[in-house]
Amino acid sequence: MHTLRNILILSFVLLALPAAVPAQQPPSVIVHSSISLGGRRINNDTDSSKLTEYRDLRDGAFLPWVSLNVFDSGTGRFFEFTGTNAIFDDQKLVLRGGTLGRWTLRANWTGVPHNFSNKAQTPYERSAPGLLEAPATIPITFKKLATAAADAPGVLASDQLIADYQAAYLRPTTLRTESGVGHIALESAGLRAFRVGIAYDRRKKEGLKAGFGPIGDRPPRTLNIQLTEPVDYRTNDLTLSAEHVGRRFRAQFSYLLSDFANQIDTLLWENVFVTPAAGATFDTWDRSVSAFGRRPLPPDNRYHNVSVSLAVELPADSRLSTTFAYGRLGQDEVLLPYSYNLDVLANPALPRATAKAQVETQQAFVEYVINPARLNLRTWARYYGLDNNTPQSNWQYVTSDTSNLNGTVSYKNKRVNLPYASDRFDTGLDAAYQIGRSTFSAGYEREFIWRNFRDADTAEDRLTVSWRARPVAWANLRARYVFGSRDGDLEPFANRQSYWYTLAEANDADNPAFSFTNHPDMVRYDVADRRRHQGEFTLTLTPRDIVSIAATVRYQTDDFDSGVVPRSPLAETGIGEVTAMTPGDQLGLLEDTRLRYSFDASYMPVERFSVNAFLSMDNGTSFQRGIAFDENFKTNPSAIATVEAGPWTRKSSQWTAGFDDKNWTVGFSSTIGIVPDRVILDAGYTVSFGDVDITYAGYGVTNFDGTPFPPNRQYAFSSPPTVNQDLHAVNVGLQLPLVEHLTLALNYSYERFRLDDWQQSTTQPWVEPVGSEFLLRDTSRDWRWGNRLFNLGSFLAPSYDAHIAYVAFNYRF
Amino acid sequence: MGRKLRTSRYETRKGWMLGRFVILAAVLAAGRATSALAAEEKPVGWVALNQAFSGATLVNDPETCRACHEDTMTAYEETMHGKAFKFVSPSQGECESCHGPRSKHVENPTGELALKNLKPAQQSAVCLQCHEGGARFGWKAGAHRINDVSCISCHSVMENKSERALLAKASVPQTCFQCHGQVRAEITKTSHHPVREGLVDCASCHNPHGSTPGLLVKNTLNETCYTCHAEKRGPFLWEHAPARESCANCHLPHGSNNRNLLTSKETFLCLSCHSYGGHINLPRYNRVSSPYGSGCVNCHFNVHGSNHPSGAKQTR
Repeated sequence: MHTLRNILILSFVLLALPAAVPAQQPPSVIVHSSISLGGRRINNDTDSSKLTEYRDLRDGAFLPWVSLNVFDSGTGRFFEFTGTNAIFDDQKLVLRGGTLGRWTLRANWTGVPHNFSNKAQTPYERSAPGLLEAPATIPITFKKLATAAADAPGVLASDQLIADYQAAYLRPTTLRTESGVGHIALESAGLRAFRVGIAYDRRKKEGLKAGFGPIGDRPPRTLNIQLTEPVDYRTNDLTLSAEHVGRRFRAQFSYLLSDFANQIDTLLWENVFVTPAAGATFDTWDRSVSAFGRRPLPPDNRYHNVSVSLAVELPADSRLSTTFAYGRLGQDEVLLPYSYNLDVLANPALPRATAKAQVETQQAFVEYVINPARLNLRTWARYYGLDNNTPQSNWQYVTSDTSNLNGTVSYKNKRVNLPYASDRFDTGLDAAYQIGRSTFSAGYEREFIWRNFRDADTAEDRLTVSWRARPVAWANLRARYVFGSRDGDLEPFANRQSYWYTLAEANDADNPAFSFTNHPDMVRYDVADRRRHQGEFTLTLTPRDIVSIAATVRYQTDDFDSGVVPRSPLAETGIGEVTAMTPGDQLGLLEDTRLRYSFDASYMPVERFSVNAFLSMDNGTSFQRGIAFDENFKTNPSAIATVEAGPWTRKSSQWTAGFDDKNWTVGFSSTIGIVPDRVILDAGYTVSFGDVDITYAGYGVTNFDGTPFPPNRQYAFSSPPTVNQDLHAVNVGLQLPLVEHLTLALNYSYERFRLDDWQQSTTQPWVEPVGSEFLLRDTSRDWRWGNRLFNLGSFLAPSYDAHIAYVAFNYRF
Repeated sequence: MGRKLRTSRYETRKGWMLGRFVILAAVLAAGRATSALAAEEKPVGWVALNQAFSGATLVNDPETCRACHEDTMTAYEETMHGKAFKFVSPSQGECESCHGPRSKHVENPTGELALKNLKPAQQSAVCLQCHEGGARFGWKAGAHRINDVSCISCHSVMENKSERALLAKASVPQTCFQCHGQVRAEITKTSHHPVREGLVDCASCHNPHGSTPGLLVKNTLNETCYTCHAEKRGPFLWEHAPARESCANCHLPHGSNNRNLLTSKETFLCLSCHSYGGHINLPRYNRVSSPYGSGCVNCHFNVHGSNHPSGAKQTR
């Protein structure tokens, strides 16, 4: 398909260009065209996919640029076409045509490759869309998942069998997707103050991305494997629009219909760790283990949105405008059964056969702006409502295609789906007053968000003050400060509504339906109290036309302190140790700070010479707290007061993590007309440094009693090494005229990328590489089976040094 | 239960607020229903913009301008304005439709009547004579206009410096970085949208002429993201509430040093909201759920929502 498309594009270009230049043109017709054709060579020393993450870089001939521009001043007809990388997967094609003042046709096509890895491996064969089958399975003899049954010889024997299997059956696989985004729009302005338009967008995304196939209970009993999840999406959007722009009254209407279709509904993958008996769908270990895993892929969905905007110009340079929008999104996919092994379940029946998921949105927005004398006033009110009409039902919770194949499901997990919904309303007033060369502004905004089935409603006040000045014609200053204060009306037990059994049926008071789900000291940052301070300062200088300098500093800090105090969560239920108290230290994200600054300078003393330089820095720091506790002793925490995996009441089980995330980008570029408008040299250099540091303290570094954990202990964690990512890019280009209309372009680029990320490394003390598996095994305690991740071989692209050179001939007329 | 009571009040509140807005919209529409279709051009009052125009008349002869501004007009003729005005003659003449009546400038060619002497809103009024509507419907109340950004802050009318849209710089990102340089550090991070590769740009998600929150192309952040990521739109049988409310609860759309544009390393992001006990309470190494690989997402990969009947924990 790509080859056919590229042939069509090349044919169009080669035929259209000469056809656009007839021997005798009418004097009213203006034609400009250019085409670049060249050859390219790339050297990527590690064949890293990071170099080609979003680019189609190939050796050989390429068409970097083509353009055609035709305008008839006699009739007003115009035609424009541009193509960048026209025949490659990262192509951009733009076409515009029409008659000025009458109608315009726009069409464009963009190819977006996304290359994840050039080194991925898999044992699977894609037998059919959405079906992954292995040529063989691993003949595991140590068929035990239960914790108590772990032993070293059996597990080590299994390790060797798995390593032998990988050596025999792993083979390379692509891991990339290709998106094609097309847009075509026709707009008519036949009546001078009235326009109608119709647009069609099509997005196609195909390929494979990294996914996972867990089968079994939670860790350590999970059998997980990385696999290639198929991507075959189609999105079709149709937009109708109409607009009237009068002297005083304006109206705008649009309707969007968006249809998403996934060509593959289900992923079914073979479990390589088991070998069931002939005809059986599961193998018998110390529990039944399914021969296949199955899960749904993103469901087809449809979205409608209609929007009407009205505006009227009023006296005193004022304007009243309003927008009303309604949206509906829905999907009704047929649901999969609870389990691949359905016939052994005691309760296989689904409460309904299809999803019946539907959400409606409403938006209303009114705004008034007035500018009397030196004053500018703006006031507005905005409402956004999200109604979730998805019916609630009582569902069985089958952990995976394996768990509890004796016909029961875990009583702890009989769940009700919660149709989350929300209303958001905000209103505000801004005022700006000009005094001399300065403008002083102040504003107030109040926002409410009401939520169904969530932890909290929130209300926030925001105050803004700013100052803009132009003390001299060549200097602009701007300073702004924003203060926000948000209060969350917490409802920590909101999630209880997602369970559907009585205490007697549950037979376990630790059940989250009757105790708590999240630790009561946890406050989710998106609904927590928040105090925000934000400051910004910008300076722009243009002392002369030939030089400009701009500098910006922006600082924002959020404090999520929500006044958490020790509390007795069981006092509400009256179950268990009703006086047991939480430590009273807030858990979750506590602080977040962002500091950003940038500096830009450009200098162009003469037309043939220009230089630009920039520096940008982005630094984010944040701090969060957590706590380790055993969820099986919620109602009687005192029973495990001195146990390693202790109670939710124990302060010494808390841990903290501080994050420091920095990115520096520095660059310069220069253009020199060695011979003005003829021989031109371009040069540029950009370097970007990124670091992520995590400072971890508390439980995990040490046990609750202060005893240091060995690094491979099951609860161990410590500050990991810094993540470093550096990218250097040098680019040099030279243009040389050869003959009239023909220019030679020479270009050389060098890129150097370095990545050091502990999360992808097999060299840390807690990681055991076995073939392509990465095992996180607690050998200080016991030998367990299930902490394995059968890896695709390379999760992240490696570092690289790359050279890219091309020679191209550019013909312009 | 308390939440159900809130539901019934919630419905009443929603109906009341929507009703107010519908009534207001109807009043606006009814009030203007009889207005005749107006001419598209809205000539500005030049004297109101700059007193120095008082007494000036239209010259209406581009060749008079070319006598002194040859270089500028040569470049200008390549632009869409230069071509359009060959076909459509505006009522005030080609140059003077934007620069105002020039008789006094011809007599005494000083910089007194230059556009740069006008305030930003006045500069924009010149362009809005013809270019109001479409994506610029919300311009007058938008953040750019309120912060004294004018059309010529971002557009170069007299010369083609970009492939499209007569931008002040060669590309959309370079134009935006004039004021938003701090975003440049974000898009150069390792996890990024393909902005620096030229496949998307700031205008893919933002409408700089609009007045929506964040100047987004759609009414909300999520609607903007769903334009390209419709597979995340759902809705799903099992929703992940913060994802439904805002993609920015977990993602940094301009770029991140963490994979998949996440605000922090996967495990720590999940642990900033989830503390259930067991394996869900600390970034322990000895679990597949640990920071290795994709952390929690090694098993809980349907974080945007699940359509499996047993997908309550997004593992299926």
